Amino acid sequence: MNSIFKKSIELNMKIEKFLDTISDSLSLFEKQIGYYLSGDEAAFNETTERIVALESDADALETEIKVTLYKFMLLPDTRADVLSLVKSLDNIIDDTEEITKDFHIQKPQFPKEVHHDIMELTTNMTKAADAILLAARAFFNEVHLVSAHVNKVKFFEHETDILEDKLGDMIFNGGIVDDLAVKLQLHNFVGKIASIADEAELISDKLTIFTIKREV
Amino acid sequence: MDMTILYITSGLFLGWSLGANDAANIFGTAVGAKVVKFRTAAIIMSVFVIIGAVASGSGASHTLGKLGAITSLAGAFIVALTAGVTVFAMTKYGLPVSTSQAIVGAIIGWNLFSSSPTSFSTLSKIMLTWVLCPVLAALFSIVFYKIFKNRTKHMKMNLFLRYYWIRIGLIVVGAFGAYSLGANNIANVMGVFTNSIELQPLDLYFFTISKTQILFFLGAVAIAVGIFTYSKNVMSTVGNSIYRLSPATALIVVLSSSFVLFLFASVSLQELLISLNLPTIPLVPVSSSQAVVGSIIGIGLAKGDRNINFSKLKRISFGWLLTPTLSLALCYVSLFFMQNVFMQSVF
Repeated sequence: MNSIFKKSIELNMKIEKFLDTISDSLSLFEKQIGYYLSGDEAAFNETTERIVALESDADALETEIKVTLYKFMLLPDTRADVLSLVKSLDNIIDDTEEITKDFHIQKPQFPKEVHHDIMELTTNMTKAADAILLAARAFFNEVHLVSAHVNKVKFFEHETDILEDKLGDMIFNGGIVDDLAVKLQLHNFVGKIASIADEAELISDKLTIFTIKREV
Repeated sequence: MDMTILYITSGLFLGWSLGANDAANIFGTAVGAKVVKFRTAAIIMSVFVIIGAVASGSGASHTLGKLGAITSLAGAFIVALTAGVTVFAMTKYGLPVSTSQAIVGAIIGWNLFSSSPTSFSTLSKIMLTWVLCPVLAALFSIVFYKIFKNRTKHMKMNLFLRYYWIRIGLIVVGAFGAYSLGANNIANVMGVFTNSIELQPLDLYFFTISKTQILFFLGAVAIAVGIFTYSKNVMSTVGNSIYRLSPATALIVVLSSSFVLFLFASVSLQELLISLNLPTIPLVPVSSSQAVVGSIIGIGLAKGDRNINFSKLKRISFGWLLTPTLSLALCYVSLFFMQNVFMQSVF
């Protein structure tokens, strides 16, 4: 029993560290898009490396959490829910790293006219993802706060959607890009950034169910 | 002595079936959700059922004795056997059944056969507790639910520690439930034999075990055997909604139903109420399954659920009539055979 008590605390600490890693990568991602749009290549490259390193850390932590859950948690239902949540949260950092790499490889050329909205899109997406991390922390520590954070996720996801549509319209109908291939490429990048907010919303739905399941 | 062993086998059979069926009411969710290993649950239950039966089993047994003091061993054998057969038959046909109600019917059957008077005040007291049992369990579960909800609502505790405490809670409450089950239901298993068996008290140097306690110990061991040999199957039976509660809900359900069993069995509580000049609670064996159903309904009400399954309640009240009637008739006929075919004195 004592061992389970210790492992419970240890497991919670690992999950906290995992969430911190994702949170850091999101903050870096926001900064990175700023560097990219402002043309600060050195800072962009350095941030890319840090995001890639954080993704590796998150993967290692995910594996540790899985092993600890299988070894010490004896509640299959809770274990399955926590595993599913951790996996989904890992998708956020995976997607962040993937977009980072795509920016690094493809170097899409966004016209000046959309820079502000791209930044806004990234900020709203980051806020949605940060809110899901707060909801996850609440799920592990203060269940009654989950719904407030989930509400924030929905709000920022909706804001992201609005900006995604606006950017799509500007790219295709704003007369600022001529080449269809470039239009498609830029639209694809906008969609990729917005997809992280969509992922956050999907996790929030999952969290809501997990929370209801744990109500007395 | 040999015949004594043969005759008490019917009581031991009742004990076995009680252990096999009722253990799931106490540890079903914990074992089903793999919060507690079956082996751990079975050991805890067995130990506490025995402690409850030996230490506090006399109260409820005394009330059954007042309903009908069976003086013949052959008569007690038939009473316990017919109660057991009634439980078995009704379970087989999926009808709601309680050992407590079966034994009361069989005792009245014996009273009628032996022309012994049935104390209607005792009978009405017993029947009142059948209704009171699920009602009280529902009330307790509402109170415990509200307390639990308020206490844990804004509690800052990580998910894993929360489950650690729920797990500890389920084990502690399970032990209390087993104690209460032993104290309350041992009367069903061995109560009918207390007036018909002659046994010397056992002197264990530090303390002496009375005849009744020896009988209750044997009955409790039979319950423990039932727990170890058959309750795992009952616990793992999927489809019975009672056993598919969340661990936290199960904690409240088991606590409130165990509390009801405890109330209807505790001699010390009765003495305390008498000393405080408060109305006492009759010490009567009640059904743990019906207490569990009452507790679940209570939680539903506390959550504001208006969809009470009235058909389940109807089935329970139907069982209140059918079980004693069936065991009464069966006991009466069996006593006739025992007396006239096997030439045994049954009263």
